[in-house]
Amino acid sequence: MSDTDVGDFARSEALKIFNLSTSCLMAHSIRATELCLQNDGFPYTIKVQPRKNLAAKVGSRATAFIRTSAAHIFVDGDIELEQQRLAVAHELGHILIAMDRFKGTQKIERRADVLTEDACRLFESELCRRHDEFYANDSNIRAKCLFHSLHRHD
Amino acid sequence: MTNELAEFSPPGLQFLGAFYEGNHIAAHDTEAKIQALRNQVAGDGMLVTSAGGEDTPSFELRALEYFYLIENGFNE
Repeated sequence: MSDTDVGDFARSEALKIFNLSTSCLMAHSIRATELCLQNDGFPYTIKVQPRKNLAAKVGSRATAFIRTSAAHIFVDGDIELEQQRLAVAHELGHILIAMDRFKGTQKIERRADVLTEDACRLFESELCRRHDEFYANDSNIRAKCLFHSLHRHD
Repeated sequence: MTNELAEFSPPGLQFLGAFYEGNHIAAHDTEAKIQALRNQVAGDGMLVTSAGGEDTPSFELRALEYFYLIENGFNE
């Protein structure tokens, strides 16, 4: 690859990664959940995949398959983006609760009970409310999301 | 959430049918189907959860079938 080619490649990859990043739902929360589990001694990988017609085929806006070292979350890609994000948050709650119980029992449960479902609904609303409050505050955006150094030499 | 779910794709249904037939599982034996699918995809244990659905055996079966098909390259 020539110097010009590698520059073009870098530019096009930056655009590709930016475009993909806007469809990576709840990416920070997913990374934070992985980090939380890693800090507890569980190296963990969470994969999230939006899928067409998931609710029609499975009967749920999202479903998660949670094992001891990895989880796979499918979310219905046809529902509103906000609902997809809420659903991912809900499943992150399931992962954290399942792994917390695994610490004590060394077993992964097969199905979630009603109490766990209620707890995951609580987790979902608490986490998303905190995100909402964060992004509604302009000073948070200015301090933690923008890249001020890119404008220094304008 | 409706109980009338959309069918899986014809190739997916055929794949699942052959899987159950190969394991000598009767069409209405939900628990045997769940166990056979878990043997394929769950390793040493797997929790199957839903957001906005019902955590019932029929949901678990449907979700496991979906996961098994996706894991085997079907575009459901």
